[in-house]
Amino acid sequence: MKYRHIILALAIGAPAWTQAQEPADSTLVKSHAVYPNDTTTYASARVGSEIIDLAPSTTLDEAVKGHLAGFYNNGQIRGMQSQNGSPILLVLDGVPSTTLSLSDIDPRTVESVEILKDAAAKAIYGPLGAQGVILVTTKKGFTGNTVVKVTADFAFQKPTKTADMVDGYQYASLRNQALANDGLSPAFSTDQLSLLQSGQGYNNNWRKQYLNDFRTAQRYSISLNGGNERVKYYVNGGFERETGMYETDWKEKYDPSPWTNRFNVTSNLDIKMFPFLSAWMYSSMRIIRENGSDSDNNIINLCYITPPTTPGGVIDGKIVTDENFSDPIYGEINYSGARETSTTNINANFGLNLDLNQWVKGLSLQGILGYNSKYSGIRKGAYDYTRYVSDGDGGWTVLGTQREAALSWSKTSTAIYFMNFQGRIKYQRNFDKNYVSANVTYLSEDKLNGSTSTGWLLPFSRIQLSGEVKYGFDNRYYVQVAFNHAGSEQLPKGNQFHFSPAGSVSWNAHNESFLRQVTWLNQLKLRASAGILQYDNLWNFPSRYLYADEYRQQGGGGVIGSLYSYAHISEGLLGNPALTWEKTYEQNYGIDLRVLNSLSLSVDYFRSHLNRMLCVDNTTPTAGGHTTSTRAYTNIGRTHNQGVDISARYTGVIPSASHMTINGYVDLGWNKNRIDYAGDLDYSSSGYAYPSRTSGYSIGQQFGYLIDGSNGSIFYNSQDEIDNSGLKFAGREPRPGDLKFKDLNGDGVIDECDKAPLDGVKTMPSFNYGFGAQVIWRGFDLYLYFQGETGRSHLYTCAGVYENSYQGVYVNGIHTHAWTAERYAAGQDIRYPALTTSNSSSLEDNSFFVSKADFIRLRNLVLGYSLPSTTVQKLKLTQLRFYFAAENLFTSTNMKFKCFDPEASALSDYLYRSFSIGLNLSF
Amino acid sequence: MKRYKSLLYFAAGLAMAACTEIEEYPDGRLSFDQIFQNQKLTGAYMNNCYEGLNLGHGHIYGSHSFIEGATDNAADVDDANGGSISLWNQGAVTSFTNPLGTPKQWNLYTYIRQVNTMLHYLPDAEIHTESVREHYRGECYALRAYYYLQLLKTYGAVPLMLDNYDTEVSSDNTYDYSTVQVTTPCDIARQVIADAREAIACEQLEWHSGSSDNDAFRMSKAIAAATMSEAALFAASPLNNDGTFSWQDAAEVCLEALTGCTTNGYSLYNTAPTLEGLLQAYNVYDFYFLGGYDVRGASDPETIMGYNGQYSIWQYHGLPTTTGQTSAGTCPSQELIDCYETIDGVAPILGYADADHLQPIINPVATLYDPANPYANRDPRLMACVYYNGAPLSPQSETLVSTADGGNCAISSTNVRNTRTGYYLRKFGSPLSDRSLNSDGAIKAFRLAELYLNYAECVLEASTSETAPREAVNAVNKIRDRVGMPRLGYDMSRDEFRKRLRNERRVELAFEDNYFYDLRRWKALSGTETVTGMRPLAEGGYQRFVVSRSKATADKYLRFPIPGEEAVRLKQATGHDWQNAGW
Repeated sequence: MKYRHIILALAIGAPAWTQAQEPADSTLVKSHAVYPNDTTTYASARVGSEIIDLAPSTTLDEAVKGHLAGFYNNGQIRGMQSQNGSPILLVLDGVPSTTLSLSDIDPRTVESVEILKDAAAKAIYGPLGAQGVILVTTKKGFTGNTVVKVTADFAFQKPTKTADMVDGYQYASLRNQALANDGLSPAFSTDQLSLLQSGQGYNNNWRKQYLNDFRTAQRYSISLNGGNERVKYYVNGGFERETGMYETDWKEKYDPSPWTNRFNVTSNLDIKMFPFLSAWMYSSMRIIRENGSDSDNNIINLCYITPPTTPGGVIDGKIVTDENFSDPIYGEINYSGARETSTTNINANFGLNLDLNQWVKGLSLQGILGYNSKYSGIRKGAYDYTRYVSDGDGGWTVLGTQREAALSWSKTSTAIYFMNFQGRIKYQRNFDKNYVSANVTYLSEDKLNGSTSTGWLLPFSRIQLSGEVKYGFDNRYYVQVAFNHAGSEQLPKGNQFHFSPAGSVSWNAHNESFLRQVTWLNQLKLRASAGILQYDNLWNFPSRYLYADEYRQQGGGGVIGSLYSYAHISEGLLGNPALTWEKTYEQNYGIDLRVLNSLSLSVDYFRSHLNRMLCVDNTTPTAGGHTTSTRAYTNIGRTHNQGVDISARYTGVIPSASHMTINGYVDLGWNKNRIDYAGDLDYSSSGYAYPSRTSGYSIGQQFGYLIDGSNGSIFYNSQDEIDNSGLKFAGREPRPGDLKFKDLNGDGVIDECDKAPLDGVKTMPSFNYGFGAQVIWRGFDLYLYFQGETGRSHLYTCAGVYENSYQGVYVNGIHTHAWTAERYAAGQDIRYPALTTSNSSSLEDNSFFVSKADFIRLRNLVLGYSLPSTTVQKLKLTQLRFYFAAENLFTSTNMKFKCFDPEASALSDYLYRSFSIGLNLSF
Repeated sequence: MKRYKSLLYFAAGLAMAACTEIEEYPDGRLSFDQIFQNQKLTGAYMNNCYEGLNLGHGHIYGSHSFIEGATDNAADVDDANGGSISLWNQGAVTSFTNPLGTPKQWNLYTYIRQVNTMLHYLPDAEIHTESVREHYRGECYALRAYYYLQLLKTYGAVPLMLDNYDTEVSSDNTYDYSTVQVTTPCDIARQVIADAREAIACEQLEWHSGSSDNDAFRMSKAIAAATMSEAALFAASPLNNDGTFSWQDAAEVCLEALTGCTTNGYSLYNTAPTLEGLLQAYNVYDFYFLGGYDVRGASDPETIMGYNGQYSIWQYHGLPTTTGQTSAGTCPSQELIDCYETIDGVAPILGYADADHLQPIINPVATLYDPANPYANRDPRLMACVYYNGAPLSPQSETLVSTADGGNCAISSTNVRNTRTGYYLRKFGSPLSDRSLNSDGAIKAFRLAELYLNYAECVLEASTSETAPREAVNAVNKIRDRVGMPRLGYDMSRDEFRKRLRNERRVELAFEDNYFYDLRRWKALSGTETVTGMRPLAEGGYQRFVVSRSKATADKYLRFPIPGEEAVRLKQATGHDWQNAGW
């Protein structure tokens, strides 16, 4: 029955874990608490390996989506605070790792992922953690016999949504239609049209010809886990291989086929050298090899934008295309050379813990060294081929100047690293009813990021001193104070260091005498926290040092040769000598409730104000000689943000039904931000209907014309209607079939002044949620998880919606129902304005092209069966489980344009639905 | 006690942190105060001031276009792909989206600032040779004059910034805009003339750019002279004239500029093509535009200022028969062709009977003009500037250009590689150029011929006599002599001479970015909507047809709009509305 204990323990989680470990007061080292335990005073959310391991075919960032209340799909925690971006700090096993992202970590090695949400929790991590901190804890050894776990998984992946492009005849007629709308002569003659209609002529379905319906992925991993009193270890090795979406044909000189191999090894050792001195060494290495064609084009995109009437492939031994597409798909896949990208990621974390209990009770010292290095090298074999186009007489003639060239190899590479050191003094003690814990940490870090432009080749360094004191009385009242004093060389000398304080209080009401009797109430905790945090966004700007003018001497490139051989001084961004970090004032109020030992609920409400946001003061005239692209960034902006996070868990066992275990999960996050001021121009005196374009709106709010459908139709249905509208048009004149825009300021002219904020088109979605359940019964386990986001709308202006790029990109169901005079006269369904080949008045930013992009996916569906323990023991194993898993099985959305997945931003941006089978075995 | 120990450690840590400062790494940047304390950096900063010149031909108007396409001199083929010229012609212009260049011309203020900064620090800058310091000073004035001239031509009245120099502390937000005065176009012109005169008075500045090839494109007194000549012309013209700057004042300035140039080595180009030249050019005028840039002006005494660049007419405005041609570009219109006189000095077309220009009024005195063979016996500049139906591909070639249906250079209304009008641009381009070798001419900004025409116009408009003034007629005749056209007589009335003068200017300076601005300063924009072409008929003879009708001839198009955001910023900062009328 051992397997059930493992699963049960993992599933029920909370009580077992919190009692097995020391109460983790400081989150700087490891956090194992599943539910906020008695000493917690801050807001956080956690997902453990029991859920991460259930989703086999994902990377870590995919695995945690929807499971952490307040964590949004775009990687932000609790929304966005600054329009300059909001950095999230990843802390891996207690080491802040600024060059790593979630997708760099193998999910199989992860024990838990926790996000820290309020000021009291984030303060000790400094300015880089001000928007949020993700703590990733990897699996560690334990005292006991070695446990070996093997996982094997094989998956088929299909794109969740592919656009339905028109065929050859439809393409030709739509193209002619668009040209006619623009007053130009048709591209396809009536003869050509009838040829296409009868099925002759070129009618290529590029996706069918060159793209696979699905790709495959396989993963294998083996881990060893165990230890004794002195040494505990966890070692994991894994291998993954993915194939690509296109098929290659020709491999004589090099191999352009798309595949990706990943290999990783993790080794976590905890060593107790002496009773008072323990050490640890956590290291991992990840090697990724990607192979593919060295084409500069995105192959999948080419399959969508190349018209079906273009000749393609190989005819008479020649790679053919037409004049408008000098990069035919067949040639780009097979004859454009090959590229192999090799990325090696090495991570190391060494620490020593000196327990000074003998001298001062409760005192310990720690020293931690963290290091990460990422090297990425690209080896390219460049090749080329001759393109041929039809010569009009049935033959083929050469197009352009590209010819077959000899294969030539070259290599480029980048390297990034960070190295940091932390020294910490920890104190923790319980006296009678008093609980005291404190720690002070000193951190210094050097980091080199990947950019190769001048300033960025210099390492970034920072120094931080942070500390925390917590006092608890009788396990009922807790008070915590934290601070951070940090400095970075990106700030001007004399102003490099800034102080961030935070504090929190919590009341464990369930430990009060009047509530102790209530047996069904396990936890009722009320929390409040507040803090003033520094917000470091400086790594995200065009200039390395924003406080100094970016003037550099250039040896050449000037106009006059006799002036020191064309020397000139390049003037980049102006500096702001009073530069400082952005600053947030945050508050958080929360309740944690647990009843009947099975149902728990956590609700948090937060508010924060950010001031000193870095933005350009756009009100300065450029007649002074400095253009908007070189203006200094000053700390004049302000925003505010608020939201609610809710998470609920249920675990229950029904003894009567063979101990069926049910776990339920719900996680929701809601946020709303607003920019109060961002240095933008106030257009009130210019007759603007909406005089502000930034201040007063959400971060990333976009503007456009509003559609006027007041007389029953949103299109101008005749030239007379346009002439009689009484409107003048500052931009392009509309044609019959173009959209009607509202003249919001009533001046009789449709221009910039009539643009309005487009409903819901902003950077952060309003809501992110996930819910699901796991049922374990008699060896079967079924897991269903739904994930979705609402409150997101998008303005679509890319190919697939806009039809005017390349030689016309037409989607069935959208552009086939574009306005024509005939369709209007016949009263048919019209879904799109009159087509164009270049620019029409309808293709300005407007609300017609805004679509809601809310979605809910059946993100995970996992059905597994574990063989009964008797059978398993005969095989000398402790567990053998087979499973079938589907990811992104269904997606339901309210998108207006049905050619993309709601989370995709282009035709070629594929998200995948995958079906996999696999097995877990352990012994 | 034990509790206090933790506080002690705490305090120690805090103390440790307080004394640390993080080292900066030098990354090679300059600070502003270093610039003028170093001779080389000062010279490099001088070079910065020149970068506004990179906004010359092809850069402002985008991808090798001539702004001629936005006038009735030509039709641009970029209507096939929604290019900037066609957008302008459709009237798709707002102050926030101007296809012809927001905010490129406005960015000249960046270089004006740099010139002002240079002028401010120049007296104390680290320069070891005084003559170099003085030379820089002259260059600064010439540059500032040139930049403000461009702003004047484009926008009219703009803020006159003369003291917005940079300081050590970032000067972005410290300039006091409430001190900016309201200006009129004449104010700008007067400043241009003052700056140009300051440059001409500078002893170290020469009349040519310099003596070595490295001095190419450097400011000279001649450039300053040409600048002030144009500024005066613009100030006195009907669009800008507010009574403070008369045609007489303009005539004086133009005369000063003209005599300054002609007495210092400038004269009209007069080298006829021989041998190799004859493979490419038909006559002196033709040959002139194929020439390269000569900093000393020895082989080319007419060019006053060039831009750093060579035309690629063969590629961007070329014949479909040329290997590598990608676009027919800006195609001369029938309206321009009708301006070329017959070889005996008679204007063949007096006007049009209809609004569509399909019924020309043929001059009864034009005996040499044959509507069935319209290109024979015309002004030599026609065959130099334009490829018409029946023109040979090159002077020695036997293949002829055929714009008829099915011809090698047929007219097309949709294809970017074929003409819209029946004509292709030949000026500046060499018939020998193709993908393997570009023999086209260097880009010229100012030439002496323009100074003659400027002067003639000023004198004409300033005069009060019944007949055209002799000096004006003499100036025009100099231009006509060079191309071999008969001289104009002295007995014309002023109105008639004005017509002939404007026609001469239109023909002589065709495709040199003048006509667009001339139409505007004459306030003669309306009436120039129609652009027609000429199609050869299968049975012989020609037929006129309408190519396009511009929608950008209303009064507001007389000036570019000041970039919309700028107008808002200036209004808030100075309290005055700078935006041009109608925008």
